[in-house]
Amino acid sequence: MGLIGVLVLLGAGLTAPWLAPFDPWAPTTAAQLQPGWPHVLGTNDLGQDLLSEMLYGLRLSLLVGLAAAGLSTAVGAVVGMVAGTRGGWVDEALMIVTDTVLLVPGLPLLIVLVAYLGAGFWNLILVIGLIWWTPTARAVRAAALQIRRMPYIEAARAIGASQTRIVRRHVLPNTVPVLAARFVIAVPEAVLTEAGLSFLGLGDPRYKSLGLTLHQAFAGGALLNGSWWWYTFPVAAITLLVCSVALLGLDEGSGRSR
Amino acid sequence: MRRHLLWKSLRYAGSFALLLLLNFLLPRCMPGDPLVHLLGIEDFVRFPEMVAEVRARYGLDQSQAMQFALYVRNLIAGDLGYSFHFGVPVADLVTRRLAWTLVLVVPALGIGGLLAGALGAVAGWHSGAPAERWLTFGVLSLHSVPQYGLAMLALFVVAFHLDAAPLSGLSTERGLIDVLRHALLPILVLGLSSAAHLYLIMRNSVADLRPRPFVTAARGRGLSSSALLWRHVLPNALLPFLALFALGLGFSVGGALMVEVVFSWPGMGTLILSAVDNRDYPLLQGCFLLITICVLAANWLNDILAGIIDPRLRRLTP
Repeated sequence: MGLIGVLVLLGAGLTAPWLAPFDPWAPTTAAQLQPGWPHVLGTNDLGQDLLSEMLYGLRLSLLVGLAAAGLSTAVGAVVGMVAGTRGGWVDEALMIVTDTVLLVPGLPLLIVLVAYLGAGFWNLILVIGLIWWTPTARAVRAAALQIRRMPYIEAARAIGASQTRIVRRHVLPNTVPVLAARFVIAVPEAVLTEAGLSFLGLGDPRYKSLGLTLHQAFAGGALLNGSWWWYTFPVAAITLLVCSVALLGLDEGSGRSR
Repeated sequence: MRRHLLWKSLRYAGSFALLLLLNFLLPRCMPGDPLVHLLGIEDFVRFPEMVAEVRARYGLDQSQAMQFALYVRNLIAGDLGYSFHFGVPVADLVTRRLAWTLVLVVPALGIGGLLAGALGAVAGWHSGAPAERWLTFGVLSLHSVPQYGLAMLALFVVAFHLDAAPLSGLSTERGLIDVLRHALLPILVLGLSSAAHLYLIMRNSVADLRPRPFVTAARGRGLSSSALLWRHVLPNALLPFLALFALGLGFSVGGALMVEVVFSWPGMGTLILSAVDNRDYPLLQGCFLLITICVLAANWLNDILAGIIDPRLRRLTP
């Protein structure tokens, strides 16, 4: 079920330019329109078509989510691998750093970082990716520690395989399931984070995103003038996206998801 | 036990030092001179001697190491600097706002935690039953709704349509009842969203423990199902639950941000945002520091509690 949801949303996001019935940037005179025909989900205060906005927003959310999750998984894999295979003081130092980043409250740190670096598409990916790598690092380290103690690694070492070879050929391939599970968990985290930052007005204003639509709805007084469609649909879209990815990853392993 | 605590405390001290360093370095990595923000670009260019004087006054002409020492010394004295946007000392502002956030967070997590713990335990015990599957599916969906989305929907339904809660406009002059009236909805939203998370944790750990041999053995001794759950399984499931609860408590001081924004609640979250909007760096640093301290304190408390609940943990650490 999760898979179907993910595929449908992924397809809708990727084909947004063809699927969208209107140009999401083109303002029309039909502002604050209730859902109906031809604007299926209504329009916003500038008369932009909400459905088209959301399709483009979905694309951005997915792009940022996938890229940031990929980055965080990669960073986590490297840190965890080095810590797990080197051991000793390297391990200890890396774990203290990991714990520290894990302890730092994510959202405030993100806000501070975005405030310092400036909002932008690439900065968002970078910042989100650099915040969420810690659980991956811990998981990979644990897996690497486990694998390193296995007899076949000892055998490989006995025939004279170098440390690099052991790590690359034996340890790394065996942590792939852990990495895959972490990646699946990291995607909704990244999507939620991006949407949250955009909702706060800290996203990239040049791209349509679900969070940006919500930000505009909130700032545009949608709550007060009764334009319920303006925020209920984007909220539903984010929920659907996160929920279907979560269902997909449900049996892949449990983890901190926030 | 003492060794365990000492080791943990040492780790925390290390983390805290790193965080302090991060907090110190972040604004200094910023492009541009902080004095431009302070004096305005015009004065900055026109009066170089004034710039030099202010630079000396704030100790910015000293070496980085010297500045860090100064920063730590001021921190110990409780001096977090001066917010140039609000025109008050950061320490005063931050503690006042923290109190407002705690008004939301403490009851929300208290209620949410109890509810989630009890429901999660029962659900985990009966995992696989149709009712449990629907409940878990519902909770999972709830968990997927972003907090601000939930807050907006709650405002829309309860405040706008049912007219059962005020939309905004909190005022301390109208007394406690008014504060409660305004706090109810944000507490509900925060409680619900944290409960969803905690429910899933509790359910999974109880469901994990159910097929274990010690449970079967206890059942064999003729214990009733409820005694089994509450006396034998729950204490074992409590540990991860408690860890996440403590983490949540610490995080929610900053994590209530979204809810605060939607409800215009004068807490830490809205303070951080206004600090970002106004480029009020001393304030931003102060907020961040305080939130970090909250998280560290919550974790430290959790470690102590975990050691008390589970004696095995005391021996695990080197």
